[in-house]
Amino acid sequence: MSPNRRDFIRQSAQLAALAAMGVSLPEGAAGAVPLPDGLHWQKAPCRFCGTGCGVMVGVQGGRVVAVQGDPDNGVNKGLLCAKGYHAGGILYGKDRLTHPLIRKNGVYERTSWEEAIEVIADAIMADSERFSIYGSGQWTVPEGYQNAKFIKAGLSNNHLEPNARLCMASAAVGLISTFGVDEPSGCYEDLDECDTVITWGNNWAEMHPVLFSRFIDRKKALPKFQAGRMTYIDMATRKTRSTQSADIYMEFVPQTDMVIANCICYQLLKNDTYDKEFVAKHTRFQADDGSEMDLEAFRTFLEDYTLEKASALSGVSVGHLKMLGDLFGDPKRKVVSLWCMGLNQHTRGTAMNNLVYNVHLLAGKIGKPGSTPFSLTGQPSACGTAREVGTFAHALPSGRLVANAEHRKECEDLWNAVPGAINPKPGFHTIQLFEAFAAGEVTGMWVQVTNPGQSMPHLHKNLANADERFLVVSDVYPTATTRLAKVVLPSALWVEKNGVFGNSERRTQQWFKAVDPPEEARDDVWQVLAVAHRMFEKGFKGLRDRDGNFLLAIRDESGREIEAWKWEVFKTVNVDRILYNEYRTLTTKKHKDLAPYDVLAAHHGLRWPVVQDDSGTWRETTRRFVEGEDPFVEKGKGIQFYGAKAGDDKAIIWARPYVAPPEVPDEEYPLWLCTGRVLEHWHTGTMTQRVRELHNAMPRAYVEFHPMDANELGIQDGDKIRVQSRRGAMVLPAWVRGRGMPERGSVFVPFFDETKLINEVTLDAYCPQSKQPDYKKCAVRVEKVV
Amino acid sequence: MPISSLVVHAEERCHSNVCGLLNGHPAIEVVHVSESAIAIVTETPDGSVDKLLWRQIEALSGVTHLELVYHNFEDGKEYHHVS
Repeated sequence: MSPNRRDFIRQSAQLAALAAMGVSLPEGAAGAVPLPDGLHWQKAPCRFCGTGCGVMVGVQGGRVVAVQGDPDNGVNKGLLCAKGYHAGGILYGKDRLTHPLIRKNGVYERTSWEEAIEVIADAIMADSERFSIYGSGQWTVPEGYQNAKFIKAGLSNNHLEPNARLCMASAAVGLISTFGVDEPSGCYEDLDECDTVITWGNNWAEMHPVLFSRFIDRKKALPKFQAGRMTYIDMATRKTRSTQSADIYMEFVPQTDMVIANCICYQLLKNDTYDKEFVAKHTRFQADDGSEMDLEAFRTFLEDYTLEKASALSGVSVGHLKMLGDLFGDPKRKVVSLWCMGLNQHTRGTAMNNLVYNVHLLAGKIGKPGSTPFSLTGQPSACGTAREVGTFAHALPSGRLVANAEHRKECEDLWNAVPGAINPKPGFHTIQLFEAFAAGEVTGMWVQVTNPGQSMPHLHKNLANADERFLVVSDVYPTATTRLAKVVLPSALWVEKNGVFGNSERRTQQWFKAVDPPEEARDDVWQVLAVAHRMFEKGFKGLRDRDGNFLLAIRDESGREIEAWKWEVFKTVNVDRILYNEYRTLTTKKHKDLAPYDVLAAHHGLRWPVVQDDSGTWRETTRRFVEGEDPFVEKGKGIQFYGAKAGDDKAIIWARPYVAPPEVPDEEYPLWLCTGRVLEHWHTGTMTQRVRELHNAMPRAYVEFHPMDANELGIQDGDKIRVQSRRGAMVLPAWVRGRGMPERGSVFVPFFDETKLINEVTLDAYCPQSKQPDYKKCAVRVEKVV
Repeated sequence: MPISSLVVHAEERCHSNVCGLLNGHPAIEVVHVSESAIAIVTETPDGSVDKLLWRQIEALSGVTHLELVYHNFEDGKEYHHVS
């Protein structure tokens, strides 16, 4: 590094830190400053979690060489966590997939794109009704949208699912069942205005660290007499790094979060501290079976959740439960509730989401600055793609459903698909899909941007026979799933392609390609387009539109078809812009209005609904359903839950009883197993394990014990422990006084390590409404391996 | 030579002591100090030392957490497959 260049980088680092601390800088001192030797900065959202931090990517000589937090992005204001800081490194793992591969006689052989496309097209055409695509909340919006069009209108079978089924389906169904529409109404600014944060089974210090810092830094910066009112309550089944900053830690028996939420509601009614005006004006009540009930019937339902009964079931003290009731009953308190996998990966995940909404609705703590229930997401576009585009087996874009004839017609008309092309019967949800794949009822699957060979629960069952089926995997590195595939396709990653993501707070963020993908790696959008066009050429009827033209045709603004299925052409056209703007027309009819592509390109993220005001300026919406902030709220309404299915603008307060988990510890399997993530690694670790620093910081999975359990069992740090359930076993090193501490009678294992597939042990029981499986609770026994 | 910048947060009672320790470290430059945080720039020979240094800072008495703001990692090496 030359001295001048070094000085420049040091200066950039200094300025970035000063900007992050809010120090005023001279105009033009920070931001995207091109270097004389060619370093160029451009914006992108971070590739990892659903927080959606803005990253400035520094490119030189065709490589990403630096990253910094984007000071102009309202999510992170210049800050990044450990993973975001290393985001550039994920592009340069030594074992990037760079050529298509086909397994022949048990051996992977390099092949051409032409042959790979031919093989895939033939296989789909041979059994198109039983072919599926399984992707994730890491699909960009255009990728998800094109896949929806391909499967729903092209193959007419609806077997399209995202792995978001495994992480936030309960959040989506929870929102829809309470408010009639998906996605949170609050925003991250609520963390700047609240005085209380409650995390419901969420370790945000490690999973969403930038948001954690946003609250904790604010709390620390206040003078003591003010800071005392700011309270952070951590409710969990494991002490974590979040707990270290909590004012109050409440440990509960697994699954009894349902009891705690109902007990808070009980107190609000019993103490007469609920917000009567809000409840009367904006809510109605429903029983667990969906029948109508009134406030008095709801009050009777809650009699099972008195302080004493709730304490006995949950293990939380009466004092702490009372404190929660008082806190929500205090009209001056501004409370943000946060949750993620702990609450969603739950056999009553939808009900649990409803229960947190119940608490906030009864207390009137929603739609006001600093007061909101807020479900966090784990993937960068779980909201933007899986939920908004609708890449679920039952869904169509922008909140539409395959079972709804009007919705099908809207999509068929936009796509110029043959009337009736979209099948009204939902496809298989994720667990069903893998069961069907194992059984041969689904004969083909194309996996994109995810790794079910490691992330599916109960792997022995759900991935059985996968290597005997027609499995195509598009990915960037070898994974537990590519090793089962017939065809492996090398994909472009993150800033090697154009993209659009949608984060947890309805913020849509666009980026442009910054560097070329390595060798023959290509965009996922192109891969699907190329296969679909080959099928069209071979005469596959489903890919003909009403006029006999290619259903997935990419057209320029004059309507002329672009031969984008040819890679050399695709590279010269911004296909993302065309797909996104087409998709956007579906959002404007459902109160989810997205900004046009070029407007997004000029901003560092915009939260929908985004509408143009009288002056022509595009305005984002900070808080949804709130007059003056949400353009769809009628004048004089104050708060208007306009998504309500009944058309009465009211949210539903559900009577959701506690239901015990399907498997609990017993004599044979006496411990709870909870699985989860760690700060350094993102989900199955396929990207972060390629970054040396992250790998070295956390190289292998472990099984974490409470010290007293370890003592009783004679277990010490580093001992080899077999964790055995009714479904499988895994041997891991013990960690007794590690980063976290599970409650007594339970163990914790992270799932990032592909050499320690803990999902061979987990259970695949799922929520009856959302079909999301529970990775947080099953029964295991442990034994030392000598 | 990775160059990074970080914001260090420390308990109020330890703030000046943490500042002093950071100032005395040859790989660290303190660029700004406020009542609640300290902005630093680090420069280390390679990524593994960078990470070690970060852990050392986290381990200082009174440091509550670090925020990473900027990282330049153009060491020209490819990362190894570690699975």
